[in-house]
Amino acid sequence: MFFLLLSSLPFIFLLSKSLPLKQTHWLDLVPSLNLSIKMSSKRRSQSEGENEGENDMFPSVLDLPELALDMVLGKLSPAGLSSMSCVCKSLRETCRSDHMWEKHMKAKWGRLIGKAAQRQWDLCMALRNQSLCKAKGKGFFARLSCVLPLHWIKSRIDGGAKSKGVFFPDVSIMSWYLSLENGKFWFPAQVYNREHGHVGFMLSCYDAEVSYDCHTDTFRARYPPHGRRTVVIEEGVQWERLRASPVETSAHELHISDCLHELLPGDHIEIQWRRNKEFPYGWWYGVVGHLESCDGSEYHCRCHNSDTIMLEFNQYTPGSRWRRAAVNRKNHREEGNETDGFYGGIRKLKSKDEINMWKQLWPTDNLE
Amino acid sequence: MATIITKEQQEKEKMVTLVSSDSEKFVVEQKVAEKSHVIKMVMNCCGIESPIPVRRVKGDILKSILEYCEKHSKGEAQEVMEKWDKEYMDKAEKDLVFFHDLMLASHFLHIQELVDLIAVTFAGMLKMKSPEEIRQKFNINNDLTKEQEEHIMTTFGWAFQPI
Repeated sequence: MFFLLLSSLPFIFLLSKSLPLKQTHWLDLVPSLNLSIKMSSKRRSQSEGENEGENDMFPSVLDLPELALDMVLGKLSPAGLSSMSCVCKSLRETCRSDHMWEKHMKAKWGRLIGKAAQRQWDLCMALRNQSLCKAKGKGFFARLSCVLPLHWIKSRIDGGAKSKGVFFPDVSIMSWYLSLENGKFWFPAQVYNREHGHVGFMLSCYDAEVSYDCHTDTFRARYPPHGRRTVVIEEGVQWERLRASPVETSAHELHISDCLHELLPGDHIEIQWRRNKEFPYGWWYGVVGHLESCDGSEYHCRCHNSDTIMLEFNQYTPGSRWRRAAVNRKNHREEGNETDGFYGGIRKLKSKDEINMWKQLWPTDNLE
Repeated sequence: MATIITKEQQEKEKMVTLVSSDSEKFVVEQKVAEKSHVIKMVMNCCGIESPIPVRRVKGDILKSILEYCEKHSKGEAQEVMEKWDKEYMDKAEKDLVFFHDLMLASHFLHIQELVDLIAVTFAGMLKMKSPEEIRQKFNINNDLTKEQEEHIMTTFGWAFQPI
């Protein structure tokens, strides 16, 4: 509203030049807030008249200009907003609107919610919508909602349908935020050093479905089965051990490496690895090393011209079969065997934060 | 012959007179009045020779606002200002009608720092309060139907079954 006021200032200035200022000052011409100021003054005199001396009654919050109220609501925490949304119809609408929740969503969940989690949420909404269609099959709007986007229908029947007891799934950001917060929504993410840093998964990052536990401020992670090994559930996964998947590739798909031609000794990488072809891939941290024929000297190194890239996993002791792996620069897809596992797609780590994350997880002792 | 401007005149030129809706006059330094974006624009446009009427703001509110602007035009250390702001808000909070009018006036005069300060204070007043407490304190009627109230209670409790 005030934006409007400001945008109209140049016009008002023009007016002030032509109008006799002392008769009508332009501050009086500004229309936007005058009404509210008058209202509060009226209320003031009313309350003074009716309850002399009692001044602890706030003129109704709802009489505040929209901008002023938005500013206040914008300073509230998610809990505060939820509480305000239960006060009355008008606040219910304002406090549930997406613009109030976007920043909370971004601040708390932005880092963890990737495209996969977004798709999962959309799927949940669609499934819930379908079940609503079956349950309330008689309703016209319910049937309509199976074929038309929820937002479209909601915007047209909001209010009217509610009063008749027909509720559609709440597709608001608030609803999503609260579903994340109360742990009812399981979403796809990746977990570093799964199963409490199990030695067999040290310096890896695996896909899992996770849900939040607000009492402990940690997550439950559910890992998909590894062959005969059933689903594993891990409790108490801290925030810092989670990330949104950095790629679109699922845990059962081979990632197509697009960085092979540029890999140089010293580069940090993650590579897909799986024990056998029935298992899901995990992402493992490594660095590009020098070929055995190279002495590693800056001036003599020709490793970047070679068709072979030597990958090093320095968390393993020298001599360990997991310590080094060679891949073909030109046509690497998936290499390996049932004994050493299969090495899949490679992604080069370009961000310092990603590299530092792996360094923080570095084990205290070398692995065999 | 060049006009000689005395020091006294120079200082006088930097002063501006603001007149509240109940005709109370306040003479303040230009830099104080400039804290209000709106008054600053008026001064830039029309000068400071004649009194500027702020007819939508009552004297007690304007006085308090100018007190804030004066303090904030001194460029004191951040810790000092934070402490002062807190005391200023503690005082304003005690009279909700006054607080309400101060809020409107700060918006009207576009004093962004004060607008923010009041919004944060107001949000603090709403914190940890039940919907019923908020209704009572801020004079709001509960116009939600029973059905809607029930819906609110159940909306966020519905469970997504793990797939």
